[in-house]
Amino acid sequence: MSKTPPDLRRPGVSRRGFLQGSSVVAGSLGIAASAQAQAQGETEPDSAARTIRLNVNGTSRQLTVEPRTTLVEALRDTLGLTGTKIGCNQGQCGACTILMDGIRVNSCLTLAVMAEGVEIVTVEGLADPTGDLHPMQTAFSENDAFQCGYCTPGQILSAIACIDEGHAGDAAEIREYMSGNLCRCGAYPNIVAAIEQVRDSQQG
Amino acid sequence: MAQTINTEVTRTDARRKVTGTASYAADMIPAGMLHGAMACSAIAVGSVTSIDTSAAEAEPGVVAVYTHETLPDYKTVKGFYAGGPGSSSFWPMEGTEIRYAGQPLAYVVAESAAAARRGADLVSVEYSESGAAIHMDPEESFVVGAGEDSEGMILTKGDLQAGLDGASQTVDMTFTTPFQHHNPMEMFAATAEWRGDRLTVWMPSQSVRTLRAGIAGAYGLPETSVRVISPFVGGAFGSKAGITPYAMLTIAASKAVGAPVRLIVTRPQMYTVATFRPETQQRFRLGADAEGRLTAFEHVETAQTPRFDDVVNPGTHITRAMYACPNIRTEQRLSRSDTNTGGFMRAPNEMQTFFGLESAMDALALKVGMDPVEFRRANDTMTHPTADVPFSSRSLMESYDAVAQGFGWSERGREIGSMTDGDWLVGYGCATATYPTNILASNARVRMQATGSAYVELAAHDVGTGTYTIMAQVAAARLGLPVEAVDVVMGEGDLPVAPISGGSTTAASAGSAVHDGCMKIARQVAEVVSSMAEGPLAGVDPSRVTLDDGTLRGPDGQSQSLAEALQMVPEGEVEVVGTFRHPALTPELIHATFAGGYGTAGPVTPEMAMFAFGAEMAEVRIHRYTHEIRVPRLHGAFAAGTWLNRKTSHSQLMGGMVWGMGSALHEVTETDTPRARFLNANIAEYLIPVNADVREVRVEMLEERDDYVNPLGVKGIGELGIVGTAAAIGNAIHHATGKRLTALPFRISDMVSA
Repeated sequence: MSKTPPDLRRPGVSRRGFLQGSSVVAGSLGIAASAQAQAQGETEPDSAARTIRLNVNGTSRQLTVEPRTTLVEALRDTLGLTGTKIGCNQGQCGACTILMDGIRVNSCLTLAVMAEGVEIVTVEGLADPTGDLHPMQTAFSENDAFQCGYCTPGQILSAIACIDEGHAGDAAEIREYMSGNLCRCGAYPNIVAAIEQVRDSQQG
Repeated sequence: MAQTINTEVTRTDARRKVTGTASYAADMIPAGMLHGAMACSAIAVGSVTSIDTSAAEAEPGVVAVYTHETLPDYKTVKGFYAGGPGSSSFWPMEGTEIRYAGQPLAYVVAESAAAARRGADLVSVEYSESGAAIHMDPEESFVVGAGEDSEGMILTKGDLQAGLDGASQTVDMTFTTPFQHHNPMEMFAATAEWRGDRLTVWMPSQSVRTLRAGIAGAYGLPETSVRVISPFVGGAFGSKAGITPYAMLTIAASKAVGAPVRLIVTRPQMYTVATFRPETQQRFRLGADAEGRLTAFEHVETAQTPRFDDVVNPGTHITRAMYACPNIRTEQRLSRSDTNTGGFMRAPNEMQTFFGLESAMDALALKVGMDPVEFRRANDTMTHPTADVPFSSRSLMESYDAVAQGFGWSERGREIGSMTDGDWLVGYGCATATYPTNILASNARVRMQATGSAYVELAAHDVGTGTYTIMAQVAAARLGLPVEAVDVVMGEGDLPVAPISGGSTTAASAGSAVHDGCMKIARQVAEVVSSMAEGPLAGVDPSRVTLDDGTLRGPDGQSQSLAEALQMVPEGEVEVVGTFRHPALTPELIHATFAGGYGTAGPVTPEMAMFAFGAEMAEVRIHRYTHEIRVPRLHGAFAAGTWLNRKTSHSQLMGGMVWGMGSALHEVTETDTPRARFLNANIAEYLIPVNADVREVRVEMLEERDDYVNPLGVKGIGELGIVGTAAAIGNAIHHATGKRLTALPFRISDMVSA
């Protein structure tokens, strides 16, 4: 994974907005997309299904979706990438967290049609093709940073972004910046330990 | 051979969980699958006068809309508290009757999840509304099974009044606990696929055998015609045990529409289509003599129940097991209100009752002038106070001493409000944790091959508890294999019977069946190799061959590894069914479990009382001006027999304590009283601990040996950690501020008011 901070300079989206947390990010993207659509003169809402291309885990995938189809449902139900989980479908729990151009986003609050032209990374895209796990996946395993595992894909992607954003300075900062990802099993101290382990190995 | 039990083993399913390849029920997408969605009642009590489904049916993508009038072949089952497999005795969509807010009224099937949701929104219902009350009135309560003392709902020992009269100090305290909802991260889901009269159901479940038997029974099918598949469960905590209306509606809708249908229940609907922790009131009257010994112990628990079910989670059966006292009286009461049926939520008998008991014990210790830990020591007992049988093992005070040392209890200021740090008032509190060791019959199929692999198959579940891993560990230890060489298959209804993943039973009961299977393999292999002309065990009496973690040993020092011996077996493998039938399991209980029910024995048998114990300590800080409550440290020490896996056990106990903190400071299902409905039905406004809430949580696991509970010496720990946490935090708040809080959860407003 790249440690370089993602390029945040995109129309209608402030860096500050991105850094406030993933649900805010999704909202900002929504504003950006609709502003763009209006600029292109598309004023009438069109409910017909359309064909889009999504770049998911380095592969371009073509799919047909309705405008109302959320990104998480397109990933899971249309592309079969069921590693991304739905925990509330209303942007409250973080289970559906994915990366869009390196930024953590709640995919349940993002429409699939808004995700064209960005690089999407889901949990399926973290291990390298030979099967070697991403260091964050290994750290989560070793630290038992989950029990039921349902929030884990979202936690791992959020954790990777947390370090990339520079928000893993100490345990307190990690706790704060990982609080958008709920874990009902209560594995939080182990999640923090996993993130510290990866942060330290990247610094070393 | 590396140690495989009582050590830290990384979960065998960790790779699947961190790569997104662990498949949960809603991840299964059969070909041609359609999507379901429910429309639920906006009123609490009354009836449907009309339902207009035309707008929903006109919605693009909607395939069908079913109501009580139009859903064919919809079946129901008896509720759990009436002895059946269902989550409720009242079933929606059988008629026009509405008995609780959020009751399903229509079921939409569509080509996409979005279309199904939109369709559900477009269903228009006209109601006739009656009055309703969501909260119980404890004054209008009744004793469960009144007059039938055999149920133990009222129990008296000695003379309570004499004990109170003779006490040097008494307390009379009433505590309340709110409605709570489990809120597992995985939303409830069910996918049904019919092929002729064969049905497959993918559904997160704590009891796949219950589901299979119940669904097959409802449709009059042989159990072999119904497959129930639940390989991974995204948290359950009691919410995924019974057969729910949403499951039976999905099964019926799939049959009606002639295609597989998947329903993912919305987070708000999760509050009313399954179960919850009922609100309760706990009254304790305790008396102690000048030396701090209890002279009187009375506990009356009143819990909410719906109009149509008696939800009995007898907490008094657990509290009365705690402390020595000559005069004891307990009473279990229910009070009705208009809700869906509650049920069991992590430590269903213990969480709310131990908040009350351990808070009252703290108050009484203060009155007697004793240190709270020493007060528990003065009342510790190795004999069950009302059943008069010994505890099979009880390490309560060992737990207190261990946690006290690590926590620094000796530095606790004796006086209330005596500890401060700048603008923070600091308090230390402690409380007892316990959980009964429940026993259920279990089977497990175990197969070992000469190539050095083993397979373990049973209808148990991994709800995050680490079951896949510990079952592999037990087999690996007995068979002398690395853990990775054992493949465990669970979570399917047609596997050998294993208990419900509830009541903290799986490790102890199912694990013991795996253990027994390994011993049977050894016996069979010993019989073959002892009858051979050559080999280390040739000619040895097979009945005198023992299995010593992978090695067969004869009576005169002969030995051969099991794997080696297996190479001499013509088949090259042996397959057996291991069983666990604790002596306390009666034929009726065994039958109940094998029929898909819950035939639980214990925690008290005619010979022994079986409980796990622990002690928890909390440091609380309350800001002098903002009154915010923080819990920087939460420590627990626990003793629960053999620890199978110190890594996953630690996570379970830590997670339990985090849940306890949630009960203390966050969790409450708020109500809209005038409209008799749950209000904060989502996972943002129903507060649960988030990462930033949880600071230092330290768990110590003590060694304890118990040969009575089961061959592994294991007591369940899935629920132990939550018990006592809320009281420890409440007692710490009292130590810091002198405020005795009697209602969960504790809030800033409690600190501001007098």
